[in-house]
Amino acid sequence: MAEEIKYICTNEECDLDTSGKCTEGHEDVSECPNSSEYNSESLMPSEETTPPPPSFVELHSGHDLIADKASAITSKSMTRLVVLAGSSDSGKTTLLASIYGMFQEKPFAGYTFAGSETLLGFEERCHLVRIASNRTKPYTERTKMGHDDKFLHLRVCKESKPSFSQDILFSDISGERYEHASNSDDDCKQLKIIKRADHFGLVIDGEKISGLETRQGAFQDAKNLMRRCVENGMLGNSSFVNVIFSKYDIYKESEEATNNFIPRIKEHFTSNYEKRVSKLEFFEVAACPQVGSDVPNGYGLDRLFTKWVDESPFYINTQEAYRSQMDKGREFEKFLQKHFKEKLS
Amino acid sequence: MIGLPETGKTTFLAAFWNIVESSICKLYLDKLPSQSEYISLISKKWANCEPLERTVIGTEKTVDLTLKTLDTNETFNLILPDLSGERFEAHFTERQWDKDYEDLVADSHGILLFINPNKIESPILISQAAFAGGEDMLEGDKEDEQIDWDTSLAPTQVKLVDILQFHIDHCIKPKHKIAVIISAWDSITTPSKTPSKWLQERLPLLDQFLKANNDYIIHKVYGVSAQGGDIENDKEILLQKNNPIERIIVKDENIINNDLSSPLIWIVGD
Repeated sequence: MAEEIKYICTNEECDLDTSGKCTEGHEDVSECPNSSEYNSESLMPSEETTPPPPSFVELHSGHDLIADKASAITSKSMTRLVVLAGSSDSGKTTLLASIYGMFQEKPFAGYTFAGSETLLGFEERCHLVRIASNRTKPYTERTKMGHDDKFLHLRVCKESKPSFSQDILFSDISGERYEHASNSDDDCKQLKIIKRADHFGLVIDGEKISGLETRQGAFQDAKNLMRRCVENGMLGNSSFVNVIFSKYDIYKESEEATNNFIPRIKEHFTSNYEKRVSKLEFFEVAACPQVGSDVPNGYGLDRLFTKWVDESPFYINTQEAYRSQMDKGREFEKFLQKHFKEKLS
Repeated sequence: MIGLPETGKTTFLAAFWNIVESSICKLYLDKLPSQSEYISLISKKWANCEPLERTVIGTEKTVDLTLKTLDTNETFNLILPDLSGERFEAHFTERQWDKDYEDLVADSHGILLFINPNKIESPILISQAAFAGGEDMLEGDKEDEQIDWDTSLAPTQVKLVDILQFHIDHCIKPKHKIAVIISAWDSITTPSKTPSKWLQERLPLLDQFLKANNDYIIHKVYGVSAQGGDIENDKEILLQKNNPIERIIVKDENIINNDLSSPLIWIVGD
């Protein structure tokens, strides 16, 4: 008589060993991936028992947050969302890395660093501007497409009010995506995150603006994106728009740029959009000036960062702010779950 | 006791054993531990100004002492696991830790966080180096010799902040006490500076983090030299002291004494 093979199951919820039936529904128990042959010898105490391997607890990855992880933050706190858009190499990533870098030296813009779930994400972006990279010139790698569905995170609190912290999520749209979105309604509509942003930062490359051969193209791209976002409902009367001229250390050397072209750009955006968005403001920054420049590191970032943390189009006073933000937080959480999960599935 | 490699955890423990047998300490040994090979070995080496070997993962020991407080005569057990610094480095680079460690911390009353001021990796920018040393310092095209990013290259303060974030997220309760021990305090070139000021200047990110998270962490900063000097270069001078505990320096803001039990008393106190 053939010896009947007995099986055991590693699924705690399966009562295979009492009822003989597999919870997963396998008629042939041997086909269930959780089952294994019962070997009585293996359960006998042995003189050489091996202790079970230690169980490990996963810690937060430290890299950019995907939607699930970002929504864990928004569900717990009033979270600001800042979305940056601009052409490739316009300085969006350098801007974010530089803000983080300022906190490495001391409290910044009246705020104290209170934590970040994405320290490794920031560190990776900062590496090539530090001597640890063995480079002689600072450089920031481009944001790749696909990485712009992820977020960087900072938590700060006011130096004067350490008990109240503010979470901020940053989304850095890749240059390729920016170019597609400025030329296509369909691509623009994919950037739903802009609609939810507390601040939409349109970064215009100051180096291109100061070059006669590149300035018109840079202006055209910025105009196109802004127009598409407004016409497709991504930006509207509950939007705070920051038009950010990057690389101030470069374009300040050009009188033509400073005195003529940039005022022209400002006039265009003001006359066309000031009344169509909640707030439109201009900023000049130099996140990582060239070696030898007399412009200090992080020029202009303090004013920009303060706006991002202090202001939101979604509230008027503190109590309403809290209620509204928690509602917006829940809405944002649902938005992240729906929008990014669809993209990833 | 937590801290990156070579931050003085074992040296502290070795010196502490000598302190609890002396009259200057506010804690004293109620009875000898049942097993004391490890603590006896390291404390003898410390007393003789011999270098202590690095604690390696897998060979870590826990010291369990029954102590009494001098003023109130209360008895308590002090359990000090002497964990390897490589373990904490691995927490940061591997992004995982074992459950046993998590349970150990969850049961603890407080943490001693060790920092070696001579082993700080700072985030120096290329532009800062050029400004300080002149652009000549950055002469030559080094782009082809670029060192790619790796988690181990993160600045010291970033590693420490993330390690503390792990603890807040997983295993410490609100108002957990952390005594920050700036070890090798004898090597600080401006000894008049208070330990908290030193932390603010040299590890500003960590300093901000500790202050901003006072719902979770109550912290205090101490400057400690358990050796009292450089045992390689100053050994002869250090050995002159009849009582080796006179080598010890403990700086609590502007108060200086030899009592290594101060951070521990602060942790277990109200």
